[in-house]
Amino acid sequence: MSKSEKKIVLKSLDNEAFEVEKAVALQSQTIWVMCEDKCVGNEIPLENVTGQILAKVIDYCKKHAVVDGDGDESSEELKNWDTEFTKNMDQSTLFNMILAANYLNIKSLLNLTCQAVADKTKTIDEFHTFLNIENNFTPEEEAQICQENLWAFDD
Amino acid sequence: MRKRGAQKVEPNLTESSDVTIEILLRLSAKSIGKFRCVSKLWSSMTTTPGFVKSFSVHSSARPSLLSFKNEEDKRNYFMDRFDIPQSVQGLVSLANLESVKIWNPTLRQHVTLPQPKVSKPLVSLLGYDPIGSEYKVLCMSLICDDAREDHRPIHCQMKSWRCIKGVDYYIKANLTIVSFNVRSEKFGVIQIP
Repeated sequence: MSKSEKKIVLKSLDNEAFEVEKAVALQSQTIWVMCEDKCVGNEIPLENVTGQILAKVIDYCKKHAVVDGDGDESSEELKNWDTEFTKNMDQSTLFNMILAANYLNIKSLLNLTCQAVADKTKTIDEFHTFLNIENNFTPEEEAQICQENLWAFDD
Repeated sequence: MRKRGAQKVEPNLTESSDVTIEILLRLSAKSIGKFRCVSKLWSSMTTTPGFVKSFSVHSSARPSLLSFKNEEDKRNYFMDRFDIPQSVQGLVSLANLESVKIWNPTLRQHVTLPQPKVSKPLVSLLGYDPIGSEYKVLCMSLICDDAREDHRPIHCQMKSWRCIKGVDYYIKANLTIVSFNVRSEKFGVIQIP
C-alpha cells in the first residue's frame, strides 16, 4: 500500500482540511461506508461538521485507534482520557460533538458525549436552554402530568 | 446540499429526536420524570414502550445497592432476611416466609404486596407475561394441604425454579417438573425424559 492510500483527507464545513491515517478515520461508520463504496476520492467533505469540532473528533479517534491497534494502554487509562476529554467542554461544544458523532456514526463517541451531557445536565432549565423546548401544556395538563410524576420531585 | 453555507452550526437537537433520545436514555429515572413535565413531545417520547425498554437496558448497566433496615433491632441487613431475590424484567422480588415486597431498582421504590390468602409460611415467585406486559406473583403455602389440589404438587418439595418465556418451572423432588404459565395462570406437568 502506498503512503497516499494510507492517508485520507477530511474536509470540514468551513473548508478546513485534516490529513489523517485511514485507520483513524475509519472508526466513523459513515466514512467507512463512503470508502467501501468508493464514492469518494482521497478527500472526504463533511458538510455537517465544523473544523473546530472535527479537530476534537479526530483527537478522539486517534486516541482510540492507537489503543485498539496495539493495546499498549489499559482500558482504565483510556477511560480516564475519555473523562478528561469531555470534562472541560462547554455545553455548546458537547452538543456539537454529539451531532458530529451521530452524523459520522461513531458509536463510542456518541455514547461518551451523550453520557457527559446527561451527567452535567441536572435541571430542566439547563435542557431548555439548549433544546429550545416549548412548554405546550395547558396549566391543567401540566398540573396533571406533574401529579403523575410526583415521585420524581421527591428528594 | 449545503444548507447553512459557512455559518457556524448552532446546536439544534430538536431537529434530531434520535439524538435527544440518546441523551434522555442516559439520565436518571428521576430526571426523566421531571422532564416529562416539560413538553408534550418529551412526555410522549419518554413513555413509549420502546423508550421504556431501552431505558431499562441502560439503567441496568448502572448497578445500585439495596440495603434493608430491620425496624426491630435497628440493624442494617443486606438481603439476608430474605430469600435469594428474584429479578425478572427489571423488577426484583424480595420475599420471606411472611410477605412479599417488589422493588423497582430504576425508580428506587418498593411496594409491599397485600397479604395473600394462603396459609403462612409461604413461598412466592415473580413472573412476567411478555405478551400482556404484566408482572404476576404466584404465592403458595408451604403447608401441605391435601384439600388444595392445585397447590399440592409443589408444596415444600420445590428445589429450584427458572423462568423461560413466560413459564415458570419447578423441579420437584420426585423428578417431575411442574410448570406454571404466567399468561394463562395454569399449572402443567412436564415429564422428565
